[in-house]
Amino acid sequence: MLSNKFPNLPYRLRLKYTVPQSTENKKIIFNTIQIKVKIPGSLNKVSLGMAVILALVMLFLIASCNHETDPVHNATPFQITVPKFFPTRMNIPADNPMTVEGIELGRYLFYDGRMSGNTEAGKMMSCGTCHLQSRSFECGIDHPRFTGGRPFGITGIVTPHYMLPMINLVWNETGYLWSGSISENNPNPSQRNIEDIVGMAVTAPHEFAGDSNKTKALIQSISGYPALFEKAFGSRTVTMRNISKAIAQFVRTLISSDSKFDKYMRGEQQLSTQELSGYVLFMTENGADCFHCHGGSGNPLFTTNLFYNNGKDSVFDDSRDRFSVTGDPKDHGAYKATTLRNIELTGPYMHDGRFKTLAEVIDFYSQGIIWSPYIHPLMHHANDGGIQLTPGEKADLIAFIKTLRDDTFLTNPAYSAPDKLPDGEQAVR
Amino acid sequence: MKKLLYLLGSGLIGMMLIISSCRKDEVKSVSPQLVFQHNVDGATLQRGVMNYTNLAGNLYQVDELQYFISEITLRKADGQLIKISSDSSIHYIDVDIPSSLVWNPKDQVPSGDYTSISFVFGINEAKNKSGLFVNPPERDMFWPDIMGGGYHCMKMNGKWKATGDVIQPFNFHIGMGMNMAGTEFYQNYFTVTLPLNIQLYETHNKIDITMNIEKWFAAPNLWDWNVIGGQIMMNQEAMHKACQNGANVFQVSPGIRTNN
Repeated sequence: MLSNKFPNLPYRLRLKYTVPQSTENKKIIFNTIQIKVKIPGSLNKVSLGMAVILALVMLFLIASCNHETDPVHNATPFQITVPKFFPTRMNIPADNPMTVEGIELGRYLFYDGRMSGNTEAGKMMSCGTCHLQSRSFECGIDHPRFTGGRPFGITGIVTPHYMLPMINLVWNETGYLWSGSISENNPNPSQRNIEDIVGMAVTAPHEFAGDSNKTKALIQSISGYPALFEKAFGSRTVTMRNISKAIAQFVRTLISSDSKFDKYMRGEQQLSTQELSGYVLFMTENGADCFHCHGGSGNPLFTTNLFYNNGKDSVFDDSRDRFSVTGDPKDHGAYKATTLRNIELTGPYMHDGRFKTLAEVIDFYSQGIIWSPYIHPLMHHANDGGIQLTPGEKADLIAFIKTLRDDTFLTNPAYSAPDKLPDGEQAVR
Repeated sequence: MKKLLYLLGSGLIGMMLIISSCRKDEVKSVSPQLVFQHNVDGATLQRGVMNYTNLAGNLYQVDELQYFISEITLRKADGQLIKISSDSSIHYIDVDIPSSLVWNPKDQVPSGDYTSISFVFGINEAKNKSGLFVNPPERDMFWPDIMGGGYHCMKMNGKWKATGDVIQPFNFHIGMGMNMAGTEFYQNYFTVTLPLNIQLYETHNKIDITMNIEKWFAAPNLWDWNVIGGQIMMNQEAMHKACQNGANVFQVSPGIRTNN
């Protein structure tokens, strides 16, 4: 009822809506919208007209004062260009539409070490500290600070798992992190999307170990940022939610779609004989059968984004596996299938980083599979210990997997650290 | 004169309203609801538990079941064929996705008496082309291009107790078949036609489509995983036998609609 929403209107404007009804033998649907204006008897026709106009003007003014329905204000909408064969449905929250200004701000924040709430050298940390573009936004096994590719936070506490690449996350609908715990299904509304992961990173002991109020205040105090927040979100006041939204927008732009294999699929480049042999192995059940979990010609993300127990262990005691999310026994020891895009750069591999090289991973799938009651049925060579590839087949398979390296993505300046931060400082990771 | 025109106009409008409401009295169309159910010889499918034995004596369990049903066509008592055409006539069913187990097509079908239903298991040759689906979960049913492309008709993943009491995974996948040389391809979708005596009207519009999983392994081809093996994507002979058995796996029945 409008009269409930706007009780102070001079004349009561009632909106009557009759819901669809049906009778037992007849299907008669009424959809009636009826506007009743209660008019004092002393008003003449002219007064009535003026009153109606006045009411409409007031309604318009009230509606236009309601800024909550326009979270991006006058920011410039940013439309992701969907690459050929890629999904058209994207995971972009309704309350955080992509904008040019939001992405620009997010890029600054992503690479600003003061996101940790500190300005002292050695105590600063940003997303870009661990997520290196050259390593497909993982830290990589050769990171100068994180020996062996094992990241840790400001206080030295290691992360519960090794890293996942930050590629094409805008098409991830099944939950983020190895367990997929950050998803729409999470009962905790503050743990459902990339925005929430940003907020968690600021305070998590194994990451920034910070205080979101301190971070917020520090960012607020840096010249240049308030103006960028105003452009992106309509207010110079820095909030943790808007920090998270901006970084999430930037992360959603990190799209890989220009590997050698992409070019092959688009008919722009041919694969070598060895790469094609590896491709056949990748795509066939009697070969290496990678495609059921990791995609391929019909799924260019090179992951289903689903969760599998791939036969690494026989005992499962990780409190952050898929079982911890679903409680379904078949999910013991199950983790997200990672995308294979740029995989040659993202070692060490698996949730616990147990394999240092791609060759070790292929050896594992070839001869190192461990049977357990929880192993996924798609691991159909489990009782043989794996797919039993010959050395030549392993080389072919690796050659194909390397065609998924996307140098356009790895060097895209739009994804790199800005030359200078909003206050003119150098980006400190 | 003005009064006369007013009366005539009012009368005309009144008659139009009466005619209009009379039309609404006749329910001419129904929104059908298709409900997909899965059992093993009548018992509701319980996944992840090895408590089923097929006719060949294999103890087995089913963990995942995903498939396409398409081209659903209802035959009216007067012989008229009514096809469900929304969503490209294709529906994806995944036992892990409850919403996929109920299909409310946008189509309206005429109310009245129906005598049979037919549908394609999988996707027909004309439509089963790579690139048809770019979004999950349908996308993840893709069948490799080098094996003919398109999409799986079905993926049923599970395990069976093989010779020597060894638990073996099986992947009962059906899609495009090919010869060993990769030079010839074979379509493995098939059409199922079943009697369905139902009178469809507004509050009686639900059709249950039930898959008896055990029938995949029964007749006319006795399915023994110890002989056939657990993987059949690259075994056209096995997929063909599976499709022959598949003709017997479905039952349809009328149901009372319980929700929208």
